[in-house]
Amino acid sequence: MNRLNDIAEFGGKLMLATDIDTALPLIAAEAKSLVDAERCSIFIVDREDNMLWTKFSDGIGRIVISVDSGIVGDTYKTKEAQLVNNPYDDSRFLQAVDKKSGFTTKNMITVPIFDSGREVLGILQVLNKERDDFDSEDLGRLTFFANYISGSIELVLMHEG
Amino acid sequence: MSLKPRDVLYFFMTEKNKIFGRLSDGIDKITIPADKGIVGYTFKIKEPVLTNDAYSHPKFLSQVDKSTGYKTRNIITSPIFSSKREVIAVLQLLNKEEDFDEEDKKFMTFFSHYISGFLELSDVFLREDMKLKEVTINE
Repeated sequence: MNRLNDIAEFGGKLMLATDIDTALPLIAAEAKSLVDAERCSIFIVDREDNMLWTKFSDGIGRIVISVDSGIVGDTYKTKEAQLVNNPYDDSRFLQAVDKKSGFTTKNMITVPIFDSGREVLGILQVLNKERDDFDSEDLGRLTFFANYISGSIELVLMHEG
Repeated sequence: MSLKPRDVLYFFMTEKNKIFGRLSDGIDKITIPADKGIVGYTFKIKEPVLTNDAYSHPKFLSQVDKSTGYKTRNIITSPIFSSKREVIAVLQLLNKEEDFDEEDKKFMTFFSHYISGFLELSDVFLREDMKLKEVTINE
């Protein structure tokens, strides 16, 4: 029950976040603690430019990728969550991002975030579970979580114009 | 969109073929077959439904009005999706003073999505709570 109470409490805080610079770090911190991940990035879809961008990607700075690149791009395309425990064996994985950032990705979960029109508005990505691999329970939790926060992201994106 | 509390209904899918709903004041409980009425229709087509003349809508269930004594003039509904992209509930508003319009539909779609995660979470809470109660009984 504790974890459920935590999510409810987090939901209350999130409702007070009215701009994207407040909302995204809150969401990322909660996502990490939900599945004991080392990092979290939230990619937002830019339909006009066919790009995915992230304002918040702790420790790495801003990343912009094309909608069809990497496991994140595949999540956007297939609208399905991806669980990858050996990214270096996955042909979709963009090793170049690791090389550039100096970070070593051990494992990853990506989950599509849907808007009210049931289109993908973004992708939630968590990297490197503290111990072990990610499992289906983590995937289930993040799938729930992505829906839980999706309305708030849609709202703050509307504010951004 | 301004509402009187009495005008809000929410319907949950409980079992495969039953929908149960409550008026927001909590006095009445309504159970209807999942394929009946405008709510059932919303479950089925997974899209909002808007009618400004309820009694002329082919899917409208006038029996509900008869049993509650409430007179429905216009209706707007919107499906509420779970994280698994299944319809878990339908939000229904009744009797706007003027007619419901496309703006209301957009608002309903946004709002249903906005609250869907909270509803899903409260549903998990409810089930956890029931589990705890079951354990107590078994002991």
